[in-house]
Amino acid sequence: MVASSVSSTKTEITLRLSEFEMPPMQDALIIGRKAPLGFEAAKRMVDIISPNKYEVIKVQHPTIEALVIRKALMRMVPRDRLISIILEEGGKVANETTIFKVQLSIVLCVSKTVEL
Amino acid sequence: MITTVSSIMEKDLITIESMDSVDNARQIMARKRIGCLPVMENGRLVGIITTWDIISSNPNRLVADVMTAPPIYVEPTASLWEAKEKMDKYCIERLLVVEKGQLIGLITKTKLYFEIAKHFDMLTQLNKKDYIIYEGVKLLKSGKEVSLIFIDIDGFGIIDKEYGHIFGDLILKEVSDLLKAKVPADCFLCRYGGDEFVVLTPYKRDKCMELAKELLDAISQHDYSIKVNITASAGISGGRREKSRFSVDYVDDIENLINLASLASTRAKRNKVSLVVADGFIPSKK
Repeated sequence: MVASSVSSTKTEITLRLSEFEMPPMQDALIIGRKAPLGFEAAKRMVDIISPNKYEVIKVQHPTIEALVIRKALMRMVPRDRLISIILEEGGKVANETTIFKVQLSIVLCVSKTVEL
Repeated sequence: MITTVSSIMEKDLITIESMDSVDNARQIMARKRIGCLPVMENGRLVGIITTWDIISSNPNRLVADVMTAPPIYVEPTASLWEAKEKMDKYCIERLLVVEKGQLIGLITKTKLYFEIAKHFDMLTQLNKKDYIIYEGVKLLKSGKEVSLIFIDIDGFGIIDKEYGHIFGDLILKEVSDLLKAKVPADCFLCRYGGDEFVVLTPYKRDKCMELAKELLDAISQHDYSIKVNITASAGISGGRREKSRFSVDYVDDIENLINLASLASTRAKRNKVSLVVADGFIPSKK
């Protein structure tokens, strides 16, 4: 007697849709020395995606190769100060292979005394 | 004539664009079994990518992000020693050859060392003529004084005939060891031919003559391993530098000085004196 068997394969497909952020980075990117994206690639990417909006900066750091920083931020905080803050904090979590997206929130507090 | 980089360079080069991926560079290098690729951008040489760059990089990266730039290169007219100096200085295994801004070739360290070995005398452990020309050209280019001592062992053929070539070689080795010990650190020594040695110095004529006498004395006073009296004759040239006497072809100038010194050493032998100083300047052979 010959045994018979029936088999079937089903594939379930799930789609998740979300909006592609333009530009894909926010305020800054921290690029590791062995990340898939390097200084040159980042430079060309931002030049194409958001011309004149970001500055790509090569840095001297043991694990971080470059920073991509929104230019508008550098008008609010001096460039070198901003770089050192991002490196100081980013350097604690970043490693050679990662690319980190950074959100920076800058609150300007102004206090004035006026004579009435 | 001096051996130049152009005679040993590889001309059929495979290049890669700077916007290509590291993974693509790796595949090309593996398929073609080569250790590096010159990197081009809009037809211009911008760097070089080697297996070392690839090993330590993410394969998704752009070649522009991992290449070594700016590229280290030599001109095709550079001598083998100039190329070696550059490779040693930058600790690199491959050197690009560029002429008028265009990439025309590449030399590997293995090929370069193989060629340089041809200009090294195994018996005496001394460089041959090309090395002296290279160092002489360097002295001329840097505006320094140049003088040459051409030393020829007297009656060396008789030693070979009476004692055999094995003992002849032994004497040559002993003479070269003597010269190595006596030649100052700022001078250069080579074995020119069979029983001939050349010393290149950055000295004026008088100081060069003093050195020549010292070397001849060392040769004649040494106690050799076979009981034989060895003397040598020497000719001196140069040491009276006047810019107008030199042409723009420094190789030709050094070859002229060697020729003058060799003729002077022949005159020394003929006149049975130990040292003759050459006068005049032989016109370029071109």
